[in-house]
Amino acid sequence: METALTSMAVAPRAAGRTRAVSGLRAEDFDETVRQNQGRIFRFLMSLLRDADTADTLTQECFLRAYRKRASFRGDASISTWLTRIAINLAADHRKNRRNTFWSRLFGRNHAEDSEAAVLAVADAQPSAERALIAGEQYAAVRAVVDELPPRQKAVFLLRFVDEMSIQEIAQATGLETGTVKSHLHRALSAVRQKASLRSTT
Amino acid sequence: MNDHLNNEQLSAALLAEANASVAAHLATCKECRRELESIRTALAAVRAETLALGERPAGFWREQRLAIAARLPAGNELETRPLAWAASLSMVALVAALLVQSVPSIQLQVRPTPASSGVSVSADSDHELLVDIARFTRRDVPRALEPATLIAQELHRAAGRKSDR
Repeated sequence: METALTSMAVAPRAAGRTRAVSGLRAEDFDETVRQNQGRIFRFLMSLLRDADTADTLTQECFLRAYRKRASFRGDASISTWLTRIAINLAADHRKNRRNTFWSRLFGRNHAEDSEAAVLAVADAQPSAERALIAGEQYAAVRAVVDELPPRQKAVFLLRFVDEMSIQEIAQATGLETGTVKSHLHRALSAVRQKASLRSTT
Repeated sequence: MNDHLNNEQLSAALLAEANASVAAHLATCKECRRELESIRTALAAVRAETLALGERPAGFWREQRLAIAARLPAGNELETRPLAWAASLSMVALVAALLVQSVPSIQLQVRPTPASSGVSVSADSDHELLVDIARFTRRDVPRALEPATLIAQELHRAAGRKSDR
């Protein structure tokens, strides 16, 4: 289906991390959305644990990027720049949680999402025992990750889910690389100490 | 080996920043290797779970793009900039018009004094004009709004009298 957005499409770029360019052109915007919407949504989903909010903030992220595209200098990649916008939006969202009551009342149950995800992970494992352990480990680590301070949590997820480099995380969060490492060390230490991990080997 | 890797060293190994001594220890210590592997497995489980959570059917992404497209501004930057310039120019023109209206009224107030004559009239009138401009700029309310201010003050006084009764 041709839309206002898709009609702006130009020659597609290489998949994956979008390369750094100086300036984000309006005619490239559709391709930028296509390449990054899944990653931004997933990141916000893992950060906020709410599909509706993640969807809303993903849309807002691209709208903000479009409005501010002239300010994109290409110092970082577009995906890193978008991640930074997403982090700021998530922070704003945390500050303004007036809708928490309503989202809890009418929103999707987070536990259902998590359970479905564990089952998906379990399905991918060949052995039932491995799946069980993976599920237990996921639950244990996830509980610890959810309790991390917001910035530490974002850094942890960018590293171990998005597999960003320390440098990319620093650019996305606006932190020094040393601070990023410090956050990661503390997060890993919390995961190791609080989650009773069992070896699958 | 009794001295196993501490949190810091294990974290360094997980972040691929382990130094030679940590690497050497891992090569010989089965317990630490198992510990490291256990954390890696847990992190992989979190990654897999998070990726699974973010999975959506193609229709979801299409709808999301449609929603974004629907909220995009109608014009692009090149179209909105001239509008911004036009708005700015309108404001400048408005201010200029107000000033032009104000200046004759200031000039009308300049009356040559009996003592002034010839060249000194021009000098004095210039001085008076400057004084008048200074008074004008010190006004709390622009001259054009003075009648409205007087009406507002009168209404306020009337309201005060009513409330006193």
